[in-house]
Amino acid sequence: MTDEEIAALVKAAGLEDAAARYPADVRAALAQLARQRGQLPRSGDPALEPTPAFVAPRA
Amino acid sequence: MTPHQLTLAEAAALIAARKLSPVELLEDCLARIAAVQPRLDAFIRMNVAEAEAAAREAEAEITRHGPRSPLHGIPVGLKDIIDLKGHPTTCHSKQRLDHMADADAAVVARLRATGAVFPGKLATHEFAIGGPAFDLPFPPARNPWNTAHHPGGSSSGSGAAVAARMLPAALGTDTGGSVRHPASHCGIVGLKPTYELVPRAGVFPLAFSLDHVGPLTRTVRDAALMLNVMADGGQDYTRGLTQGVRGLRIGYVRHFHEKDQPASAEMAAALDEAARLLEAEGAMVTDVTLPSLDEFAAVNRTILAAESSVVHEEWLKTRPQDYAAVTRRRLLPGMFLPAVDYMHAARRRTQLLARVNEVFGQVDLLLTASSMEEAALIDDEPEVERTYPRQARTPFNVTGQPAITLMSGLSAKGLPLSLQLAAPAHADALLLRAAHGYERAAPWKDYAPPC
Repeated sequence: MTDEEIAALVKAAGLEDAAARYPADVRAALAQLARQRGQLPRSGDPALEPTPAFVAPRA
Repeated sequence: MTPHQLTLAEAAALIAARKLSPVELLEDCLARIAAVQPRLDAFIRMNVAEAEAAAREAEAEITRHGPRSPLHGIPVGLKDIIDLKGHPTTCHSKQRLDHMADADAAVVARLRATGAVFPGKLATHEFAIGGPAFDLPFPPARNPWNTAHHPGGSSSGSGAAVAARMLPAALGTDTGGSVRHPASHCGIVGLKPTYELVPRAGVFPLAFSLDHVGPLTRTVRDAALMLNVMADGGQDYTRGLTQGVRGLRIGYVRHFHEKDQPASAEMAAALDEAARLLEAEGAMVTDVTLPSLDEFAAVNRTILAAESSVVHEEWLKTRPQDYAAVTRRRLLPGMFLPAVDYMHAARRRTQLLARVNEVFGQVDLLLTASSMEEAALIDDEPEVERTYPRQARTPFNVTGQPAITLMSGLSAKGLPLSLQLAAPAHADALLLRAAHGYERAAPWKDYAPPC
């Protein structure tokens, strides 16, 4: 990720102060997110609705 | 046996028989706290005068009318993300040092109404998400089995205090395993009840749809006594507790710790031994397959990142320096998370719940690992970072189903090993019954840390 891309994401998130103080933390966060996004299962089924998991029937 | 060594049920029985006064119990717990707190840092703030007044009041009332409940006059510790009226809820953070709770959390109000006494607030990982940190206003709690090791978290002080016999019971919260993790590493009982069975009002949120409030105790019976008061519905969770595991069908999720995240040899052997013990007690134990731990972890992590961002957005923007470094690093990714990822995680959560429920059509309960190894050294940050995510607790935050951890042995280093049992939603009573059956048959209940 280029410095320009990081700067754009930081601005969109409103984290200019955090990025100025902790640039390594912000870079690490973006790298971590990129890794983790790849691990998230994505369904192509348009009809799949996110029923809250906690709405479970009482036994 | 001195009063601070009693379990909740033992203390309650002596109080009901007028053989122990709440004042005597509290004073002995306070003496124990004074003796071990310098080594454990389990408490971040004491509430002695108010607790002593409550204990005296309990004593007078019990003398006149008998106890209101088994919790009448029992000292209960509170993780410091749970509101106690008139006291700060700091969340172990510089961000909240000036906070003052103007009311009890709903679960505290329930405990107070039945006569519980609150001697102090307990250490937590900052905002229940960081890890052991040394750059916060309060030191991190340490493991009473060996103070060079962490006690698990985020309900770190709750686990340390109960294991060290400072208190018979404490409250914790669990978003990715934070009641069960310290219970696992401190050799005690940690219960995450069914989602929403215990009210969360007045508990500082981490991730709304994953957060649970649960008790940490030394025995399963004590967990049931706590849940009787904490839960909606007025059910008696001690009823049927002694029925044992005979006839129960238990699915052993072996792939969690053999394939998905291979556990240490000691932890794996202890789990196999627990499965054998449950069979010897009359349960039918069979291997079952669930989605992989990686899938549950990815969904939990994404939902947690999104939901915690809405809580921490303003502070991350304006006061990032007032977090511990580890907390800041854990919270920042959520600020960059696309909304579409949150929805993908929510959709996958539905499918994961359906798959677990399908398995619960074949078995009554699940037996799984909790942690994959013993607690790491508290100041070995890379090892803490490596081992914290190696666990099988998050699946039941994703599904909202109840789960409990218990001690399953001691490692060669003298640190607790653990197991986890899980049940269908609202089968908390069945879960406690099975856990009690294991606890009764296993030799670990009376093991105590050396501190």
